[in-house]
Parts: sequence; C-alpha cells; structure tokens
Amino acid sequence: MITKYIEKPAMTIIDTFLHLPIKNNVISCPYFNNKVTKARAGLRVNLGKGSPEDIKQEITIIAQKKHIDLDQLSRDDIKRFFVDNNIGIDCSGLAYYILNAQAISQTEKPLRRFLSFPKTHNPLRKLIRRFRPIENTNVKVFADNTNSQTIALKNVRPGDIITMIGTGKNHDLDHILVIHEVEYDEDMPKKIYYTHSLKWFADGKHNHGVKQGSITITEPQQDITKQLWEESGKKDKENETLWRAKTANKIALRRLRI
Amino acid sequence: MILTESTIHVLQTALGFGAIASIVSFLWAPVLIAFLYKYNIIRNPEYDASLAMGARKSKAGVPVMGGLLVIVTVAAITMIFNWERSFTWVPIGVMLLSATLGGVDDLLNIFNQKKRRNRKLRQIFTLIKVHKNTWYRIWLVITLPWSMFKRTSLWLGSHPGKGLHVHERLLTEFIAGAIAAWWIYVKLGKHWQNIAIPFDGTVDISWLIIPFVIFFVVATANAVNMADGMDGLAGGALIITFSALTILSWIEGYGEIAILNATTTGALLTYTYFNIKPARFQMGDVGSLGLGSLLAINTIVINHMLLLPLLGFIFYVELASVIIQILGRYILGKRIFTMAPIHHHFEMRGWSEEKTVMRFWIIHAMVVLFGLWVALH
Repeated sequence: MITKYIEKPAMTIIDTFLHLPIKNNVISCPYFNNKVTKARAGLRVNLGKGSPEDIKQEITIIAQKKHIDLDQLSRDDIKRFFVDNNIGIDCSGLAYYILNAQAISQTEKPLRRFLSFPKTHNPLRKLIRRFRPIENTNVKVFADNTNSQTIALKNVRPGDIITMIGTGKNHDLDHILVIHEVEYDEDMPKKIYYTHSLKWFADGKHNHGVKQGSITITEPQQDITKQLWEESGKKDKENETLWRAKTANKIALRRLRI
Repeated sequence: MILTESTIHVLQTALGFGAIASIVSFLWAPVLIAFLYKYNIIRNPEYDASLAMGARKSKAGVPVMGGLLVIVTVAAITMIFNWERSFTWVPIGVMLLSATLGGVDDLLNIFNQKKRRNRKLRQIFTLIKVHKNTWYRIWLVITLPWSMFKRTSLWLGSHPGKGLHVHERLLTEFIAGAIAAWWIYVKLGKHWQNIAIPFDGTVDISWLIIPFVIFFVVATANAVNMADGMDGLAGGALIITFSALTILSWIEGYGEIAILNATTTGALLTYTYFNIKPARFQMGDVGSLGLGSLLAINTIVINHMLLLPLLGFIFYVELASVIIQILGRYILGKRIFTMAPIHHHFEMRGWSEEKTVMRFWIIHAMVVLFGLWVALH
C-alpha cells in the first residue's frame, strides 16, 4: 500500500484552516458563503475568501471593536463569534488557497497564472479578475474545460478536485472538494481523502466549516458517487456531502491544467 | 537676511500676537467647555468606529467642536488687529468657510435624529423603470450623473451616518477652494501666482494657481481632519507646522502672514493644553477643516505650496494611509493597514495613544525641520 499526499505547502494551508489559532484556542475555520450577505467589492475576508491571516486579523479587529476579549472565550464561543460576524471560508475560497500553494510548489507560479475566466468579455471585469482572482474564482471556473480536465477515477492523485455543479434540493448550488491524500494498492487508488468547506444541515448554526472526509473505492468501474463516502463518522444518507454529490447535475473528478 | 529694525519689529509683533492669542484663548476656553457640555455637543459613538475599540471607549461623551477655540480666537484677533486685504482676507475667509462646513457636519452628527441614506444605483434604475409618476422618472434620469457621483464618493468614506455625506463635503470643500482660488487670481496681486521651486527660484504659474489652490485646500483640510483622531495629535502637529510657517513667512518678508501664523500657533498651544490625554474637548470637523484650509492657504500665500507635503507631513501621511487603505480594499480586497488612518494602525498593534501621538509629533517635527531647510534654498 502506497500513500501519496498533496504538496507540503498545500498541506500546511489545509492544516491552518483546520486548526486556526485564535488566541488560546484552535478552531476549524467556519463556513461562510457570500450568498448570505451579497456583499460586493469589499474585503475578501468579508466575502468568504480570506486567507488564514486575513481571517485572524479581521476577527481580532472585530473583537476589539466589540470590546470582546478573545482570550476569555471558549472554543465554541469563538466559533459562534466567527459565524455571527460572517467570517469564514467558502468551498471555492478554500480550494483556491490549497491549489495555489500546490501550484506554487509544483511550478513556482501562482494559480492565477493558470486560470482563465472564459465567460468574461467586459474589459473592466477582466481587469478586476486579474486583481482579485480569489474572489472571482468559483466552482464553475475550476470546472471549466479551459482550466481543468476530467480524469478517470483510476488516475486520481492528490491535488485533483471533485466539482459538483447544480447540487442541493433546488440544484442551485455548486461545491468543490480538494483531494489531499490517496492510498494506492498496486497502482490502483483504494481510498481518497478530501478537504472541503461546507455547512451540513446537521451541523446546526455554528458547528460547520472546513472538514475532511474519505471515499473508499469499492467499485472502480462505477461513478464516484457509487463509492463508499465517509465523513464525520457519517455514511450513506447521513453523509450530506454524498447527498450533495448525488443531487449534482454534473459531478466530475478533475485535474487543473497546471 | 539682514535683520533691520523693521524686520525685528515684525518678529516681535508676531510673537506678541502669539502670546496674546494663547492668553485670550486660555481665558475663554472654560466658557467654551462649559458651553459644549451644557448643550451636549459630544461625540456620538454610533458612527465612530474608532470609538468602539476597547481602549478608546472612554472618549465617548467628550465634547467635540473644541476647534472653535482656535478658529474664533484667530478670526477675531486677525479681523481686529491684522485685517489686510492682500494677505489676511483670503486665509481667514477660507478658514471660516471650511470651519462652517465642518461645524454643520459636527452638529448634524450630534443632533440629526435620522441616518441619512443614499439610494443604491440599482434602486434608482428600478425606479426609472417602474415609478408611476413619469415626471419623477424623468427627474431620476436627469439627476442620474449626480446619483452616480454620490454613490461612487461613498467609496472614499467609511459609512454614511447622520452628518454630511462624502459627496456633499467634497463639493462644498471644492467650492470653498474655488472661491479662494478665484479671489486670489482675479483680485490679488501677481505675487500670489508664484510658486517657489526648491533650489531653483520661483515660477509664475498664472491661472494654474486656481486648480492648485483647490487641490491643496481640499487635500490639506481633509488630511488634518483625518489626523484629528487621537488626543493631542492634530493640535501638536499643527503647532509644529504653524511655528515653522511663522518663521518661514517672517524670513520671506510676509509680515501679516507671520503674525497670522503666530496667532494661530498661540491659540493652538492653549487648544492642545486642553486636548492632550485625557482630553477636555476634541477639535471636531469645525477645527480640523478650518485649520487645514488655513494651513494650505498660508503656505500658498508665501509661495511654498509645493512644500506642503513636508510642512504638513504627518497630515499627508494620514491622508495617504486612508487612500492606500481604500485602494487596497477595493482593488486587492485586503487591508494594507490594520486600520486607517495610520495612527489607528499603530494603536491596534499595541502602541499606547501617548506613544503614538508623541512619536508622530517627533517624526513630524523632523520632517518639518527638513521642509524649512528646503524652503530656504
């Protein structure tokens, strides 16, 4: 059995989002999607696209403004404070930071050099996207054929992504998972480990955020949704990530063109 | 420079005016403080983000509009004893105009009951399409450029509160600058249209003085306004700048301006006495906009407007920090400074208010000294 991991800098990013140090506590960064507030043009940290440093800085500033001593808060209180102030990371924001670290590690060039925004024709928007690539990179951008290509399950490797377009009850949400670890048996992938940022219904209002799960490949010839998904000890119907995968109009295992 | 009896007399007069201004303002400062407390002219924490910071909580409830002490003292003394058409009309006129604007802003912030809101452009476009009154729709179309100006100017401000909005302030400051520029160009002598180029003599810029005056009045007034965020910061820095301007205008032979600068320095000494931590009052927009405009005009009069970024160094640093922060926010989507203006950045990083203020004073004094040296070459 051989295990392959995503590049070390990318792993460090994942680890920082999973274990965000806030004063005396460590929390996993909560999920936040700008669809809630629909803020435009502001700080990326207020749009669910902040880096770990941005997030730490912003939460410290908010705490100072509200006279809250973060040292005195428990882990749960800090998480609640994050959520109540709309601070967190969305799935594509998290994917961007991980894949950016991966791209820099592999090619010494940032991810934005490899991404294009095919549906952008307005020169002003092109300029904005050049300056603010993170805020303008969503799941559809990652899933576009100009930026990534579909791969077969047997060829999966760390750094690949699983994109879900049109998921959820109304098929109006997109989601992305980043594969950070793959176990192989005789060159065939046996188990995939992924990282993502998502809010499950079962998480309640505050207990969501960056998390990890696994997909055990039991039937290599079948679609990825037919494999054994496990996350937070939940399988099958209880696993809401799998539910997202199953309800997606389009799900694909993809590799960025870097 | 040859020190003749008349030049020494000018210096003596200027110093005398400075001393008188500080004594006069000292005498009526308690009256002003009592007045501000009586009519509850105090800082409103609702619209002041910096007040929300833990260490600054104590500033809520401190009177604003303390800048009146300087504005009224300087205006009264100058009008009575130093009223000169060619030199002191314009500085005092612009100062009073800007101070009035600042005063309106202060009063609106304190006494206005409702938040003043701007319609979003999207709402305006929707109204243009659906409003039942055709004339109102036409009106919205006609005023669309103004609405667009209003919305875009919001990028420059923190948040629309009860006071004047950014577009109103910019427009009024522009008008104040334009009136001064017009008066200078049309009514006053040619010497107003010269600019001293350091190490290279002077250049007559003719009508170009107009945009220069407008730009420097608006920029400097806002710069001083931004620096007025910590006890003693703006007051102390203004003392340094106006002292340097007193020396410079005296050396350059502008007696009336030297006296005006000395008067302002004297009044500022008293103001700062009451403004250092814990402040008995704060400058408010009435003082910061008025004194910022006066600083700009007094430097323009003595033909040294190009040195304003040096003579008003810390104010321009504060202004630049806000501009950089806004650019960082909208172009890059991240904070360049933890908080702008830059004095809050250091405060957020753990510097005490006293440490920040005193270091800013010292840095400012060093650069002003350098500016003075450059001006004399």
